[in-house]
Amino acid sequence: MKAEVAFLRFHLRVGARLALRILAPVLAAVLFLFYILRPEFMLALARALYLEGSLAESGLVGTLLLLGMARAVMPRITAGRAGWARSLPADGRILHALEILSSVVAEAPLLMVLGALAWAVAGPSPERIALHLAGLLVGAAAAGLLYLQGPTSLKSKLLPAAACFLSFSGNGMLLVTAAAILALAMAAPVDAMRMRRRRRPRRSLPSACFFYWLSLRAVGARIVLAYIPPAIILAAGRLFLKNNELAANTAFSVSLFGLTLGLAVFIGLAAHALAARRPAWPWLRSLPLSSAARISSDALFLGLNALPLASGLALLGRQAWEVAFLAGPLAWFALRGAGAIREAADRPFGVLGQVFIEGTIISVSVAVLPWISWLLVVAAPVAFLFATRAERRLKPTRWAERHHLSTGDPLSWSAS
Amino acid sequence: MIVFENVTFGYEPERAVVRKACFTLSPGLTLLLGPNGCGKSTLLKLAAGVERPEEGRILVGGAELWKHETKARQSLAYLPEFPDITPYASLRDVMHLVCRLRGEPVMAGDRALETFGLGGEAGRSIRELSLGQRKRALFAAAIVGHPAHVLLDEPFDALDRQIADDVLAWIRQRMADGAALAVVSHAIEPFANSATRALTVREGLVEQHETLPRSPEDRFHLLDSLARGVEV
Repeated sequence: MKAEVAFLRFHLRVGARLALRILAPVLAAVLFLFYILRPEFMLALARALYLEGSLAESGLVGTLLLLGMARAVMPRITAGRAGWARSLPADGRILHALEILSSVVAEAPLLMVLGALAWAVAGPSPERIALHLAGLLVGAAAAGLLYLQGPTSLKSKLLPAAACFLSFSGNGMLLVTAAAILALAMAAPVDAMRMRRRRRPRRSLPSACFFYWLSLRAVGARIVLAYIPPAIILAAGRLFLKNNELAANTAFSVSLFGLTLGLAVFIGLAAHALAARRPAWPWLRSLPLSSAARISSDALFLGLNALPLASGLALLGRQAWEVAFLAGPLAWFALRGAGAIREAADRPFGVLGQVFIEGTIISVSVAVLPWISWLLVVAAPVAFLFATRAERRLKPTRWAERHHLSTGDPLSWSAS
Repeated sequence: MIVFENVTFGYEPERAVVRKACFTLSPGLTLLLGPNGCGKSTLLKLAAGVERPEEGRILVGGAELWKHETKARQSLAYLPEFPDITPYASLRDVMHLVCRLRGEPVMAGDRALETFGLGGEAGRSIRELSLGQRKRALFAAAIVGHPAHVLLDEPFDALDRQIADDVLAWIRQRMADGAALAVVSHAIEPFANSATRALTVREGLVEQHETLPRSPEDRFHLLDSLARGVEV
């Protein structure tokens, strides 16, 4: 029992530390919603989630929210559990439950916001508030359980997903059903301690553009996810243009702003994924390959993958030749992104923050003064020089804490 | 040969691991000795071009390491203490990359893997191998192209006895061919007889012993003292 109590304290601390890390972005989002989009908007969201939405709508939105949060916290809670931790004297099933508890604690900031929204729209009935709060706890636990299951075990994910979905119903019977399903799922044979099976590379990497394919394999499906925020920006741009009567040059500026910002966001996200998944490779630096070549390969990866976003011109109703205005920002962002990967460990905002901040300033500038995009073409060698300097300045074997992420840990590749 | 000229380096600002290092790694075997954390591996990383000096310069075969990056590294083979090969490529992919960069036919990479008993593992990722196999994979990369400058960090860690003997034979062969080898090792016995010179780092300052005593006892005593960090 002593071991379990020790693990309980350990997991509560892990959960609390993660909750503190999550608190700032959640508070920032709440302040943004409250002061920029106004309280009425927040209440409308809460009503849609808890009152007006059908079971399917509320369940789906709530499940996605909780799964997103669980996806962020669970890898940090379970890091290392497949290794040395298995030799410690504790029951796997209890550890399983404690990890879920830790995830619920870690998600506390989001749960509190959702709880406050439920309280705001549930009216004076304490029963309804209690139902929503209990639903949130059951849903958070179910979302945590879903991410504890083995990566290929789809069948074992169905029960937690169903429990998470039903927990947002606000209906007593359905909530009891959700809790029962959750209990059933937790009682199922534990495969939480199962080690992830390492997948073999499916095929040899082609020698041409070796580093491009290497980066693509490292980033994997995250590259697809990186297209979503720019797509949202472009869709918002299209809606703005469709619903407003704008002068031709204003419409051009709006389009240019959306496209440039979309490029910056995509490159920021892709560079961030690259920095986390494929950190600096110290040994490669001893091979006959210049730092300029290493920068070029990363910039090529970021730039080539950003090219599909140019099709946003058609979405925004622009002429094909106007793609020329994107050449400068694309080259600049790709090179700055390649440089930012090398500077990630020393920057407070990380790769994404650096590219995004710079990207926003450049997007506004290009929208107001389109000739700046030509200036960026001319200035691209300067960005290349900065990035090459960052690559040469990098101390790849220095250990820097990256809060349980592999970025910055020179041994993260070889650690099993 | 590898020449260090006034090289200063530290991982953190104002905490230099190596200060104003001036020495030459000439052909033959140089042993880098000293207690844990004194800066031996850092010297090797600097010589390999993994880390860049904050001050000073390093020349490999006459080419400045950070000015003529490709040329200086052409004849250089580095075996790190921790085998960091990307897990996103198979061993064969990595070996072919090394061959292409060193201007060797890709078959040389396959042969090197065979030499180190990894022919059957060529399609695997580094994560699927044991620590000893990972180290062997890096040795296989080191022998591609008969490099004239060889830097080995704890070469016998995790290797089985047979492979360790093969590696020792390869080191002697490279020495006979006139290569400059630098080895960081806490085990001095395998190298005591064949070492040409020894080097240690004390509080950031490099201390070089260009000649070693002829008598085996005196030679071992000196190397042992350097390895323990004892003033000689």
